[in-house]
Amino acid sequence: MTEQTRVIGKPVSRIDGVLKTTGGAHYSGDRKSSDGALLHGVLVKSTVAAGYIAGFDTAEAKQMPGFVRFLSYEDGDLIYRIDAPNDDSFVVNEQRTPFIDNQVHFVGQHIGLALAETLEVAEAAAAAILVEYEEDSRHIALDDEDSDLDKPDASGTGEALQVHRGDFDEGLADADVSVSATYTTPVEHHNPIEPSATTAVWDGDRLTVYDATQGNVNDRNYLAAGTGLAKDQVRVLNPFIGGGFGCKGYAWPHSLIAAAAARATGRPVRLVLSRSDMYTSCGHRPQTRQSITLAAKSDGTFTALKHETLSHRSPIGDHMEPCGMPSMVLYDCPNLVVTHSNRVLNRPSPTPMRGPGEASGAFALESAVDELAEKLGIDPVELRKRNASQMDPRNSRPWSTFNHPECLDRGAERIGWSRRKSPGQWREGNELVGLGVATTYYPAYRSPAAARVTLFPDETAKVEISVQDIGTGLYTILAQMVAEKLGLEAADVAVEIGDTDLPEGPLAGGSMTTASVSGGVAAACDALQEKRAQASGDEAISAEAGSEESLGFGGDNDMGKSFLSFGAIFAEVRVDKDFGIVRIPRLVGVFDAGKILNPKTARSQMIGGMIFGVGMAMLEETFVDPESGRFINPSLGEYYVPVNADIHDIDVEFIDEPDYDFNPFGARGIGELGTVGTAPAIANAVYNATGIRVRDLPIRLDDLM
Amino acid sequence: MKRTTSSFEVNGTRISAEFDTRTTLLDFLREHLDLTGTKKGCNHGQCGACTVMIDGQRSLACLTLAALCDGRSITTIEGLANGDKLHPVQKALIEHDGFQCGYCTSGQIMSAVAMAKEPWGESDDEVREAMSGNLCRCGAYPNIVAAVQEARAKIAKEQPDA
Amino acid sequence: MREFELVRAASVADAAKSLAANEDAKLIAGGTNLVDLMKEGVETPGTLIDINAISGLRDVTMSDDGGLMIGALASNSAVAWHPDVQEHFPMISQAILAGATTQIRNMASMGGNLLQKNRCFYYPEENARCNKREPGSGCDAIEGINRMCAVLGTSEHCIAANPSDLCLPLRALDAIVHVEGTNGQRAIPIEKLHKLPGDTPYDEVDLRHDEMITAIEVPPSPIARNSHYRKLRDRTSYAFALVSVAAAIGVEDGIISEVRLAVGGVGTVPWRDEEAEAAMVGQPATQEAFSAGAAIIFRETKAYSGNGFKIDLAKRAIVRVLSELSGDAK
Ligand SMILES: Cc1cc2nc3c(=O)[nH]c(=O)nc-3n(C[C@H](O)[C@H](O)[C@H](O)COP(=O)(O)OP(=O)(O)OC[C@H]3O[C@@H](n4cnc5c(N)ncnc54)[C@H](O)[C@@H]3O)c2cc1C
Ligand code: FES
Ligand code: FES
Repeated sequence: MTEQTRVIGKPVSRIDGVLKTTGGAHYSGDRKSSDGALLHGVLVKSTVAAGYIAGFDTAEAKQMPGFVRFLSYEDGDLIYRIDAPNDDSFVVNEQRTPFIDNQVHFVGQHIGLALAETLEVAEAAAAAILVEYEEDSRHIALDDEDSDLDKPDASGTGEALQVHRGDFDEGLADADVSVSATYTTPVEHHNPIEPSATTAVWDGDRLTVYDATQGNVNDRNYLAAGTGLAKDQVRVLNPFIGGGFGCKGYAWPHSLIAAAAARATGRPVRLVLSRSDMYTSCGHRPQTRQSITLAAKSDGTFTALKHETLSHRSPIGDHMEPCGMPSMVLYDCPNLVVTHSNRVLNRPSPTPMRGPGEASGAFALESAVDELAEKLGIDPVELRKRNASQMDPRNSRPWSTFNHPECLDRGAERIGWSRRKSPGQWREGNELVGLGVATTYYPAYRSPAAARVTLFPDETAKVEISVQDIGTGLYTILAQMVAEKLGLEAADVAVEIGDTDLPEGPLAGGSMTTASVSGGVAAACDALQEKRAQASGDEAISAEAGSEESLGFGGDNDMGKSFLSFGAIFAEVRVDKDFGIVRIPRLVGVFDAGKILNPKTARSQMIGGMIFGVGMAMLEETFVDPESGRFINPSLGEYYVPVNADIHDIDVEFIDEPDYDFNPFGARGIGELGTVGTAPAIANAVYNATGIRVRDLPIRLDDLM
Repeated sequence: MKRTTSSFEVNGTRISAEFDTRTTLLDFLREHLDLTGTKKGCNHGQCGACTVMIDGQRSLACLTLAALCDGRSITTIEGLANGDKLHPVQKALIEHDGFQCGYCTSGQIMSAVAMAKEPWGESDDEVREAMSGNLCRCGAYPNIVAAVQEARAKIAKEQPDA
Repeated sequence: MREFELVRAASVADAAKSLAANEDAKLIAGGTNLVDLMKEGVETPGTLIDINAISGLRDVTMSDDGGLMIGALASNSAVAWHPDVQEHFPMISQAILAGATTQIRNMASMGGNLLQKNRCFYYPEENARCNKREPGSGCDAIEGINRMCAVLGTSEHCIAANPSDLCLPLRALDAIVHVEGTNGQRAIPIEKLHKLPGDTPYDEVDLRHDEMITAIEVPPSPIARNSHYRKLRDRTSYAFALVSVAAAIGVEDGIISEVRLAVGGVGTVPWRDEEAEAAMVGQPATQEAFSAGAAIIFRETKAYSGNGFKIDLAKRAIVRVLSELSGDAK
């Protein structure tokens, strides 16, 4: 494709905009229920962190008019044992089959489901069910030495987690200056505004599930395994998803519980997770403690880097937060040590959350780079440019496009970097003002995806793929792609997605949907154009095609290049000198994410990603009760996500250099790029404003008083 | 089961119904009337996704018992557009890309429509504060502020005394 | 939520009678606190008495001498935006607008606001120990997560802070809470309404079961025009206070003539210390005097693992607010 595009690259408004602004978009919990067939399910969750269920007392619940049934491990045969570690047709972050036995591994584990004719009765019944436990000893704290510690070799996406390059000790001895520090990040929750919801409907031996999932094909395969059905007997529909940020990425037990309940009762069942259910049912970003040593020559050249991460997983989960990733790719450093350890704790199972590993890891690394710059007396923008990896340090391949230094320069200009003063020196009234920078990045992933494109005689078209739009704007991008290829306008293209009966595409995670589907869509359009040349024009013509190869983080491919998006985030902060309250009047992000297919929706995604980073930097923490292991602020009232008043000016610029090696439209993913570098940019700005280095997120006013 | 009878108006239609006293307005709208445009994000007054108008005032349907709506008049997102003609707030939100996943959007719109009639000042900071009762995890805030400002200006022009 | 009967009260007497007839009954006004806690299973009334149809309880009127009479059912929004309140008692308006969100303030009543429950993390948590929710069970906050808890007026049984913003200006202004029960009417000074936790943290307010709040009276205060409410919190909006200050000050020829000051986020009840105010009166209106006054308020505190910072923060906030009000903002 040439650089000249008609529809691609234009700021087209979302084609699903009218549905979403009129209440007409139906999410998984919105399926019609007034016909009386539907049963409502409410989860019963464990209240102890470790032990065994000794018994249930359901007497009071059973007396409630409208109560239908209680399901628990005593009905364990309703669910087929899922073979999560060995079945590669699906990915889960919690391996245990729900209701498989009476063991309890953390507070909030699903131990039962109350079913009733109405939601009010189901809720009251679930609350009235009494559970007796035999408690076991529990492990709650990150430094609980009595619990197991894993040192996994590879991450969920197959990246090496224990890396030794060169000779760290020698590199440290060679250095003129070094910094060593420990950084921590707390448990954080995705908290999409839509709670996960599953509506399961059986029709003979076919199962239809409306599920709030970022990966309907993965979900379908999981549900097929857990119900003992063939994949083609299960259909998952998710035309609209109210955000996910990772917690709806992999499949989770509640979906299977709803499906099993529908089979057991012979009625459609809807299970909408409560907000507090969301804290223990579908993952979280685990707490991390990261130790970094970074050393350099007096001219700023990095000579040694060590990045060691301690995090946690549940006894029945396998997620490891890969915080060391940025240390492996962002900078040239000949002597590198990256390690990861995972403590097994009686806390719920973690899962990827927007920028998994990258965001928490970049907070540590990019803070350390700032600390080193200060010690060296070198401008932090300059220090980053001097050390920016010119090639992928893992395999010495060139980056497919490389604008890391340019992002830094442009961002510096946009924020007015030259105004920056020494720490604590810029005061206006009661406020201390500071500027900070951090590099941001996100690996470019790609998965196989097929697509079907149909052209109708009236010169309108339809594109069909199984994939889902979690808010990224995929509906609109797909219409633009097809319109571009077929010479139509975006408004002429109907988009059907969110249905596993359509040609299969990947899950919406790792910022890879757009990049992945573009291969299949382009191929299907090309095939259609060939047919079109021979067709009469009075009949609809259709073509289906797929892109086969996938591309992981390591960049294993035969193109001799590595694919990664770089960017730079700059923050201006104003800190009240007495109260320590931080305001962020301006954030600037400059990003190199390949060709920007729709600048309007892309800008929104970057802004949203940066706001996610503001939450991480300033607000978000799930408190773990040290005694019981319970998450004790499982709500949107006590867990603070940013509100409108927290956010001010956010400025976004794209480099917009197409990456045609990566896919036919030249686009790399963007969803997570805005988040990764935001927290460290803010932390660095806070240091510049106040002279106080906060190494433990979130940054709170009492850290700065 | 303890039940009650109430009658009220929803989007201009008179509703009389008998229901469980525990039923919230939010569940009544969604489960009894199939008006699912009003969303449940938290069920505890902490997110704003369930914002509706009760007698013209923006309110949270999740903390309102349906039985307490007797005699009142409720407007939901479904009752906002005039046939195919979108309300200026709806239009501005699409134009400014003031949403991503769309789940908070009904609540944002109801809040913005109500806000236009509340005694807030003109500045962006006033809009930010006035709209802070509606969480958006996708982070559409700057675009929402832009949309609200444009729509407010338009509404003021069309109905100078409103 | 537990099942309940719904009763609609037509008058105050009617509501009082229904309460008296039923141990298990509760009044419901805006429902913003009660419905939430019923969903959590913390409140389990068997009967709800809807008081919203009672007429005459929504008015906000200013008397000739400059005092306010506010009906118990007036919405928080109506009071906050009321021109007389904004002009003569700015800190009342500002305190209300600093709380919750417009949607909640539209629903919330003035009476309900005075009686809202605390926001300790452990209070709504069914399986935590909490002496307010489950008398005698203990207090998990003392050894647990207590960032939102109090440093003044705590006991070994409870350290929950009173969360109301509105109560602070009312306390500073010596508001009077009018109530009516089956035995007739009473006027309760607001300082007597909320009780310190002591050994009985579950016994929170000086109201008999059959009594209903009918109105809040704010006596005239010439210095209230020069008042301000400042709320400090982790999130810019839609968050409870870590620390807040409601203050009014009169300054004549550079000398403090009168101060009214209440501090939020720090006390188990809306906190005011008249001794501190007395110490400031007669002093030059300087940061030194404000600082000395603030020190008196916090002369006897008990901080916990996560909330010690509130003491300094509150002192600084007091100095800032009083300085700004008296034009001594350095
Ligand atoms: C998400 C959220 C955030 C909030 N943030 C803040 C905040 O920042 N600052 C703040 O100050 N508040 C805040 N609030 C609390 C809010 O102000 C109160 O919920 C509200 O004021 C209560 O008023 P209501 O009329 O809804 O009371 P209801 O919920 O109806 O009643 C509360 C209690 O008062 C009793 N009651 C009500 N009226 C009377 C009466 N006339 N006489 C006797 N008893 C009565 C009821 O029986 C009940 O026990 C918040 C609430 C929510 C849900
Ligand atoms: S659902 Fe009502 S405020 Fe969140
Ligand atoms: S658009 Fe997704 S939460 Fe606002």
